[in-house]
Amino acid sequence: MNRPTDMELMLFADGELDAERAAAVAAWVEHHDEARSKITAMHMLSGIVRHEAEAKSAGAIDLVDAIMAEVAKEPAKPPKRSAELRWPAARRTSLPRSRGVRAFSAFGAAVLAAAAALLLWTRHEVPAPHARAVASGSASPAASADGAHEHGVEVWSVDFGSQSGAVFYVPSEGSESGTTTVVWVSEDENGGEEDE
Amino acid sequence: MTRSSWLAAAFIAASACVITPRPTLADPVAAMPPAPTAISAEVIVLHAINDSSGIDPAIGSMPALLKPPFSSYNSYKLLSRNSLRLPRGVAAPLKLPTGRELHVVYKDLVPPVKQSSVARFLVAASIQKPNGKDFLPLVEVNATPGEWFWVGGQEYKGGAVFIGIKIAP
Repeated sequence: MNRPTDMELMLFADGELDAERAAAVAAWVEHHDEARSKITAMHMLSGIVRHEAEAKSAGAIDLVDAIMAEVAKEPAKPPKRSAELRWPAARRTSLPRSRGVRAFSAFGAAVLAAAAALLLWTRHEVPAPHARAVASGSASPAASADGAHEHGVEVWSVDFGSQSGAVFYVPSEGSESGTTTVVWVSEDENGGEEDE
Repeated sequence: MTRSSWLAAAFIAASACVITPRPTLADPVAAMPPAPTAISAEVIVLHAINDSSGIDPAIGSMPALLKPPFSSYNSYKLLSRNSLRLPRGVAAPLKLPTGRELHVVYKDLVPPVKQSSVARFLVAASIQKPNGKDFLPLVEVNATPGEWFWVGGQEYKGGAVFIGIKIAP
């Protein structure tokens, strides 16, 4: 069979492919680690965001903890080189560094829905910037990090301050570049109460 | 051909190489137009919620809303659609339904990554709380005109707010 596109993998993960194509993609996924990793990452990240959406009505949730919990469920395989966060030096230096105790931390996540790859978060207790890959079933195309694919909108630098957050490059048929960029910022424990 | 003829021909050929203007190649920075003094952006604010009311037709065609992470919410309502003029280096404010304020700044023109690509715009966005503190201190993107990027996640009326920003082509 033909190698499934990332869009097809995403539709497969969402259960939206027709039966014949779904069977073909399932067979491909069965024999290809990379495709399996993408599917795993798609399930993981969409699950996290859904979890947070559901939690919003019941109370706040820490996105970072949710991610780490999901990551902890994954088999502890060392990530392949290609899955590591490789942030170009120019971007790294463009990150704000003058925020003292609000140290910035970044970690790469392998893939959301086929393209993507980059997760960032901030926490008070992290002493210095660092980057590492998330073991989400290891391999990912890390397309944005490799520069292999040019997203319509590239996140150049981000400072989530005291919030936690993530950057998603979502495959999108409606976009000329094929991806839509989403910066997700989680509300802190107090929601908007601290605003006043 | 005599030796002097060969020399003359070689001289003419070498002169032609020096004098003839070369076609513009490879250097997208050199070929870049000057950065415009101002650009404009469309900003839409959506309320994402799980109340099964569906996608507000006023939003228009937005296939991405049916895909993760947007699909974590089954309903989207258009709260506002705004056109912002962005003079270079000047923050354009936009009041959000959460009471916070979005600031968008056009900073520069960025050379295209590939020769075949179009130039992009370096744009920064931040969100301030009413008390003046940062909610989102900074996100800087380099954006292709006509492509949406989204900032989502602020809690609002049992759901979340998604802010879509698109640099006008």
